[in-house]
Amino acid sequence: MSTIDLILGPQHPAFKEPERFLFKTEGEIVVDVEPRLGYVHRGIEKAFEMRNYIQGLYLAERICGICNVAHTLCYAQAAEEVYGVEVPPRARYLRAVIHELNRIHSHLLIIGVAAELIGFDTLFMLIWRDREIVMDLVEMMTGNRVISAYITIGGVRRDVSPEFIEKAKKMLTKLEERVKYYRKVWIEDPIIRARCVEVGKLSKADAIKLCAVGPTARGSGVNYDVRRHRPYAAYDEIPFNVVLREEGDVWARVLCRIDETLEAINIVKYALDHLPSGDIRVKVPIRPPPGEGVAFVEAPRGELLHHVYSDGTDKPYRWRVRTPTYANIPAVCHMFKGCYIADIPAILVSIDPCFSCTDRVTILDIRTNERKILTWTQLKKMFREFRRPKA
Amino acid sequence: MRLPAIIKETFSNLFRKPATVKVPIEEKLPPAPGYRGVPRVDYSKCTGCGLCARYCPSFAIELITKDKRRYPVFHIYRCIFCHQCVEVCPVKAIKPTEEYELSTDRPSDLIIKP
Repeated sequence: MSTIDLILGPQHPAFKEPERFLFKTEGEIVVDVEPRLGYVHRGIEKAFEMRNYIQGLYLAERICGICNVAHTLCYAQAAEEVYGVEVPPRARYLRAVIHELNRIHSHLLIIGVAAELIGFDTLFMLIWRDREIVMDLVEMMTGNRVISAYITIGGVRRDVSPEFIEKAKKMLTKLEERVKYYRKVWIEDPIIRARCVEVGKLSKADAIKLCAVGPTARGSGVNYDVRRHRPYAAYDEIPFNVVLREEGDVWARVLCRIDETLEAINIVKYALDHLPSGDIRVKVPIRPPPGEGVAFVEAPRGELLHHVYSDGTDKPYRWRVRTPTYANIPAVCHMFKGCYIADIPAILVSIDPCFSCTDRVTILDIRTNERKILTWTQLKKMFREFRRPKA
Repeated sequence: MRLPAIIKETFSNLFRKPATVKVPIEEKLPPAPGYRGVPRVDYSKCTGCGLCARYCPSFAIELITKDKRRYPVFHIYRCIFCHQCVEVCPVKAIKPTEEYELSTDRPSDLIIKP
């Protein structure tokens, strides 16, 4: 049987963000897939080099609107490593709070979108209605619904009042009830089970081999969470569980996100209860000392890395970002193989794709399956050699 | 056969009022206290140090010279409402507001100058 090329994207109603995929199909079955990244390349890494560290903070926020807190947190941590400043304990807790609120709002968004893409519009509407609770909380805490501009180098920009803490706990209890109900719907509903169970399988061995990160890996049983294995902010002091599912299909990955939302609500409540007193930020000068900094953060979509190289001026010499969707692309291409064409949107949405994050570099070669895995020292070495002048 | 859990929720929603409101015809939703709106400048306090222009992430602040003094001019159409200028101003001449309804038919409304 001859194969037919099916081109989806860059603009396609089933994709939430523009990206081109070339599916080779035999009848209804996808046999191979070729992604072409780079449609929404914006040159952000170069733009970092044109701005000073404080201006870069707001640019980092705009790499991805939905996980903006993860990006600013990662940026700030990398910059703090260069500056050599220690964040006050109250700021570390507030960072954990805003990071988890951001995770709740990102996860509820993608659970709703997943429900919509499998044709379950009622659930989509209901989830997005209840998502407003967390959006209102973020607005009260930071001054904006989505782009929070809350984290800065050396701490956070605003403090929270005792009234806010009372109100937040009340609203989060209400949200928790709703999310528990949606969890029940997701587990029991026959339509969802028919569309999602055993679709887009990714085994644990494949998830490790293809370097999947975040809920995509945890939905396949890979126990890896940056918050647990490389703690930052206040995560070394806050008790929480790493959510794991063994099934490794679309259903498990979305359920993993629902459970993480519940876990995030508990983290926020714990952090607000145990908020230490004291300063919320330390001031930093405009020029950092020369050096480099690297930070890892568990963004809602997975592991996020920011690496900065400072040459002692007020602008960074080089800034490198590695986003979770980029790491998940080989895994999602593996999931597509052998699926039906109608399942493509459901599989794609189950990794929570964010192509605007992804499209900063295109060095991935899918056809030859070439993927470089660099160790920490190799990465450092690469940057040093890059710095050295040629002449 | 058991009914799916969503059925009860769907039917209870039939008798509820819509969750959305008609903004701004019937109701206006006030922003939360501390909402980041347009920054306003008190030019009598401004010393013309230029820190706001140096830190503005979207290059919305331009420094002009008038009567042998420097003044910041705010191009609000470029502003991203991050309030970094409010934060860095050493004499607190830039005041945060909660204004967010900015549509206008005169572009000059979106430029704050002395």
